[in-house]
Amino acid sequence: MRDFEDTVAEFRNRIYSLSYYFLGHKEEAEDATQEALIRLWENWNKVRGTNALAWLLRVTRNVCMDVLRKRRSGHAVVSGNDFDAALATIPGNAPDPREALETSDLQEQVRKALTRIDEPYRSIVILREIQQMSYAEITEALGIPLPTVKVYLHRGRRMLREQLRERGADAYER
Amino acid sequence: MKDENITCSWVTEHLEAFLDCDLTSKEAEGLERHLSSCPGCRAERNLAIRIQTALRALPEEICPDRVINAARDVIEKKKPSIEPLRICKVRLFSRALALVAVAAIVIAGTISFFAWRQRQIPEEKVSTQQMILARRQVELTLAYIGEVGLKSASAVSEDVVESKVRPSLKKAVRKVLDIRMNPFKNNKT
Repeated sequence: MRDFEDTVAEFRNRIYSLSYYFLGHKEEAEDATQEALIRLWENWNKVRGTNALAWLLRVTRNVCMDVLRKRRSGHAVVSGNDFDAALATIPGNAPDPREALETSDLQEQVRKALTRIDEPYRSIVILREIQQMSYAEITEALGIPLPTVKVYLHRGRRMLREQLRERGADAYER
Repeated sequence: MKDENITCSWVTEHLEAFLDCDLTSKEAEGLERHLSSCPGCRAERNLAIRIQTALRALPEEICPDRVINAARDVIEKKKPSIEPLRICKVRLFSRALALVAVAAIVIAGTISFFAWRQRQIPEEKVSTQQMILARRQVELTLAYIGEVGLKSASAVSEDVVESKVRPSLKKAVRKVLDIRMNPFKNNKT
């Protein structure tokens, strides 16, 4: 199983990054990464010799969506620094002006705003802008046609801007 | 593209395509002209660029080793249940192979044993030299009997020895020798 170990070593950070930026929660990202790697092992005979990264990204996204569903149904434990990310998933949650003041760094605001936009826009923005994948790679990983990927990406970016504007990031527009 | 066709809503609609450089050169020039004269659209474009820059500057997170180790532990525990079919197939095949090998060894051993046993049964053959020796002994015995008979002439005459005793003894000896030479002849007779 040398090639399995090599695949894990090669893509572990990509999977973890996707999970982390998707969920905005380190512990959940660790669990999601672990689950994705176990699924890779279980399906290794099928995945071996194909585009393992595309398969892994698709599975990781599905695992992350399962985590979100569990979180929304109240099974997930919310604690520590990730509390605001969890709060953001509650519908109708009003923006916290204090948070906007405290979080002056645009990058941090963008990261948090990312966890507030819906799927599939979220994963497409992560794959395209953070992981800097090509449209063709995203198409293969998510099984979505290329024109649709572009449309979703544009909507995702627009949603992100709206989120930041709502959170008081108007200062960055200048 | 005429500037009057480029409105704020057109810019909002095409801003993403502009960021991706998907607009034609004429569309891009028209949009740039609109931005230079529209602070609202310019602010929108600037925010979009800053967000994109911020997203691209986000680092790749490093997956902690404990995640990999935990996954390995789960995989190790799951291993027997994950590959039941493959393991069963391999086990069945190896067991069948072992069974065939054992059967072949037993059959070969049995055949070899019986062949060896067959070779171990001695053939009761009498060599020519032994035969000559036996005849000579018989002749010497007869001669001895003859001598004894002559010495005690009153008891047995030479004729009697020659005509009765000697042929009978010769016959007996031949019979014994024949039997030893060929045991099956005896059965026929």
